[in-house]
Amino acid sequence: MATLHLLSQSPFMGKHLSNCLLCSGSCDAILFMGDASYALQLGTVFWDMLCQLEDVKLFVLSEDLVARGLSLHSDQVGIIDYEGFVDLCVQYSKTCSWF
Amino acid sequence: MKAKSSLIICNLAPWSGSFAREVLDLALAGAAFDLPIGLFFLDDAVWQLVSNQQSKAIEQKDLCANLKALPLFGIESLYVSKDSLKQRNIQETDLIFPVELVGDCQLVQLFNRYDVVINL
Repeated sequence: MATLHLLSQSPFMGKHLSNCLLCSGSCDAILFMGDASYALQLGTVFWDMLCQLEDVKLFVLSEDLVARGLSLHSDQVGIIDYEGFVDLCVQYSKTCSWF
Repeated sequence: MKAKSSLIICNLAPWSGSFAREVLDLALAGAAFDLPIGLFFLDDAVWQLVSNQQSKAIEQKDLCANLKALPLFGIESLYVSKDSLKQRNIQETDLIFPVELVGDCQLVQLFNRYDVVINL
């Protein structure tokens, strides 16, 4: 019963990311959308925490990375488009939106 | 009567609603009336100044082009929180224009330089 977590809040602005991590079990996935993609910036406390996760899959919406001028420095995060987003929603038995 | 100087503070990210654009419009409106304006970017607002942003990817107008035009409209006092940049691992060289970096211990002095502070 794996869950897909959807994050859109900037990690610098509130607790959505930390709450999401508390609720993420093995085989779950987290999709970073909108301002949540700032959590993937290399050298921040958030990325330092995320790159340690071993059993939670990480994804980001490509348009949000590009719009913000962010680049990923790791293969750990899957970059997907909206079609990929739909595929993920179908693949996971539950979605949890942290809005 | 001497015009009052205003420091406008932004603390939200560029693509979180229309906030960033509204702050810019406010600053430009003030400049149009020859009011001395300073703009202070704090917390996630520092993301507005990062180069390589491609707003077309999310179907938005290019905010950076408007920000870069600020000096043309007489707004040259642009301040950025040093601490906010550091937390986000953003280097000064990653920014679209030169700014005055302000440390946390200099914030009170910054506020004292202006007659009015606007925090939207």
